[in-house]
Amino acid sequence: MIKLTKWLMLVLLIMSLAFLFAGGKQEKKDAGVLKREMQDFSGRHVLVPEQPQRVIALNASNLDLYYAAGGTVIGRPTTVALSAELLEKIKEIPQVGETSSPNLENLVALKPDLVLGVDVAFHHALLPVLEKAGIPILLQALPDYPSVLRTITSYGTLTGNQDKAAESVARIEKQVQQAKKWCEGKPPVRVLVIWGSPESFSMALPTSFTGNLVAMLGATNISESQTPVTAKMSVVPLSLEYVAKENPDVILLITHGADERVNEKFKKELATHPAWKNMGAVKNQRVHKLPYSLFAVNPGTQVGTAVELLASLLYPEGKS
Amino acid sequence: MSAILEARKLTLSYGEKMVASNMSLRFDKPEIVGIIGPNGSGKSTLLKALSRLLKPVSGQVLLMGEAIEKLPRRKVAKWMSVLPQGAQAPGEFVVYDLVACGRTPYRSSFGAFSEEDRSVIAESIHMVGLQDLTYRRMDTLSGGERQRAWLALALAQQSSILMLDEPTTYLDVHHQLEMLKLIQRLQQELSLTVVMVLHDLNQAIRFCHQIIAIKDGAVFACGTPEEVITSENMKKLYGVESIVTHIAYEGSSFLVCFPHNVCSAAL
Amino acid sequence: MKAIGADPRSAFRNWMVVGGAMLLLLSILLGISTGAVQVGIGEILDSLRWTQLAGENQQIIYNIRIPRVMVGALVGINLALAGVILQGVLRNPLADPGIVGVTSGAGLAAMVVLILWPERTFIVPVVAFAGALAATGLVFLLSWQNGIHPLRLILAGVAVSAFFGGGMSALMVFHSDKVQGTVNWLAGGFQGRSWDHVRMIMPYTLLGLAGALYGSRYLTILNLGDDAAKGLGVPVERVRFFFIILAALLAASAVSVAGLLGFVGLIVPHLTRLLVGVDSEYMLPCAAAFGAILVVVADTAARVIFRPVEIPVGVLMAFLGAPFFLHLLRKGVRHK
Repeated sequence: MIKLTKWLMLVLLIMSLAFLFAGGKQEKKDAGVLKREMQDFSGRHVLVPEQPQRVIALNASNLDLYYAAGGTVIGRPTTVALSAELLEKIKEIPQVGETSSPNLENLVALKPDLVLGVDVAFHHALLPVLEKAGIPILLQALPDYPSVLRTITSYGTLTGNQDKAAESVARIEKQVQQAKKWCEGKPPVRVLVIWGSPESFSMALPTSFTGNLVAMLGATNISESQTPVTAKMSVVPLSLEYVAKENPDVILLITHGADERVNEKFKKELATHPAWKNMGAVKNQRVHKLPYSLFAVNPGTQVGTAVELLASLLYPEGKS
Repeated sequence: MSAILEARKLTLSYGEKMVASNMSLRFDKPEIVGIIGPNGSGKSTLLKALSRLLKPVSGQVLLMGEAIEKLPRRKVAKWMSVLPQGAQAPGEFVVYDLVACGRTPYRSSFGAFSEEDRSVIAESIHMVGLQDLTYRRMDTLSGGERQRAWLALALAQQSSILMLDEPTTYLDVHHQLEMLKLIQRLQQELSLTVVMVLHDLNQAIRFCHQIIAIKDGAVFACGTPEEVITSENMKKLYGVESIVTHIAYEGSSFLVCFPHNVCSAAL
Repeated sequence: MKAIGADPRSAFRNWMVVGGAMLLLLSILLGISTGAVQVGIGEILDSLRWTQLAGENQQIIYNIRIPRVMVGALVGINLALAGVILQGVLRNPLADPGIVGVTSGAGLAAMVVLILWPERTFIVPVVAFAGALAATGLVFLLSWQNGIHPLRLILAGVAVSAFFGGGMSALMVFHSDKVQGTVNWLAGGFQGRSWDHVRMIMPYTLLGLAGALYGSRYLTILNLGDDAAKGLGVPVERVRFFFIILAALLAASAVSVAGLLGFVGLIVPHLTRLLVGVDSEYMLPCAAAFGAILVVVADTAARVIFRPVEIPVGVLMAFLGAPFFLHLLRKGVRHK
């Protein structure tokens, strides 16, 4: 048996020497394609084709914004967090898997010349393979409202349809400016934004996307005095004592996933727990659940609608 | 000529407890030596120290005239075999597997078993009479057969010294005698030096050429069974009243010790 | 020479080793040819030659499939060997690579990077490896007392794992919105594994196999207990130390490229034991082969069953391996 094992080891040794040189840089045959350099949200400098013809989006927001900039994709994520009309448009397009775990093989098999991803670990993990395959990928993020507009504009340069992009931007801006005007001069409102999952509740900080929208409308986020442990945090764990002390005027709830149970759990909490029951917001029935598609995931091009909804919830008096 | 095995002024401790102090012993020729004594007197600890399983606090153990801790482990294993008390083998082992372990000191780093290894293993199994059970699992054997398998392991080491720690304690009387007679026969055939810790006084008398009695970490008595096993000694050693006499049976005379009552151990 | 007859188990055992190796080769080929695109042996061989054959599926086969399957196989080998070694050295049938702190150390280190610096995801394997070894070192330090005592080591491992596990929970609570990014890595998987990952783990696999080859007879002897082993001339303390370090390196390298994949290190040694017994000479190569087969087959199935969605490999391994193991267990019990 020792003898056999020794032979097997020898075979393995030879194989491993071969692997030492495997996977080296392979030439990509696309001379003649014009390139431009772009910087994505994570800070990487990426060489992308000037007018990409085969784009794959890995998440809903990128898909949404790219279409808003007048582009189309050849591969899409398995998600339904999109507007009905967009869903209709992309019905026939091949799927490449969930946003959090895209199927690399499907992706590469479609032979894209640009991939739009998110600045998160599970997309960073795709870099080694995509680099070897010579496929450029932009890792984007939408931390606040201005970034949505910026991204649509920059996608406009990629699609070549700058007009369409500008049009989309203008449309959104109009909605937002109107909402802002509605909120001007109104008495100050103090808001609590809660992120709920089945295990725990957190408070959204002003640095979160929804927090940014709330601040834009001139309302005060009661979590703003909370210093996060690290700069990367956009939520902090919910402290009931803190909330009771701050006594917000409005409480907004966002749940992970379109799961009704969290909503039910929260409603029960409010109805039974004495600390919640006596809070101003609860007594005045100013506790609202925000729609999943506009707030749990980034609203993308529908951010205008999201802002309008927020405005109506924060300042409901006599909406026109 | 240096002794086969020697202990010089050994001081031993087990954890925090001082178990033996200033003990000196010599094993000069191939014979069976029994070590007896009350519980906690230091018998097993002494055996462990002699087998290089325990480091003495002070003093030396000499094997063939050389300090045992300085000798390479493999060399020691080729000269001395140890059968620990209550030795356990995994149930899946068959007799052959266990005995094969005895060849460890002779195997090279990446080597497989050689022809010689295999023949020594076969020989050892035959010597203890287990050849019909060679490929039977250890957990299907009786207590007596298991001990014999361990003995075969010790023989496979082809050593000249056997250190046995209570080799018969967990066996019934039939298998105890069987085991001891086997050890006696092997000692004669192979000229071995056998050192064993025993609890049963009559077994010690019957099978040992020399007996060492240990009390409170020191050598209490040393000599032939006739010299060591006297009722005076038994009173002092174990605190028992005993009758020591000879029994004649079929032309032979057997020395026996019959402890019949407890008393306080005289100083 | 006195005759004792041939060992009745040898034939079966030898077949197990050879069969295992062949089955592994088949699994690897199956893994490489299965996926979003079915490829044949010819295409696989073509893509291995370094010429620029512009075969349609060259990219997929060469840059995705082959490295992924190879990483899977190597991880399977490493984890199975680590499990066999630790169960033997610590004399504990419930020992798995995590018991010396490897899993929790790697997990915490990886999590810190994934949550706080996701743009540096590429350093996760290195960081995880360092974390794994740091945790093991800590376990050693805490349990050392004139040598390694199996029970002390296990208890120290439990304590260190709890401590690091607490750190991981804290991270998850404070960054609950970023947890999704870590879950994939923590569950263990082979998505996106490239030739870089193969090169990262391969040296340790070779080291592990060499070490196992060299020390297999010692591993068998340790089963007899410390005293008997010492009596046979085995430097027990040194051997234990060597083996635990080896197991830690094997486990750390596996966990750093695959995430916290459980099950293999715990169950494959038992499975192997049921089939070929306790003799390390057979147990080590067989366990290596079986571990690799399990991981490769599970990963292939995970990719394919609900395509294009991938199931976590760990889940599938448990579903495949546990029933098979239970079946073997029942057969074994009936034998006695």
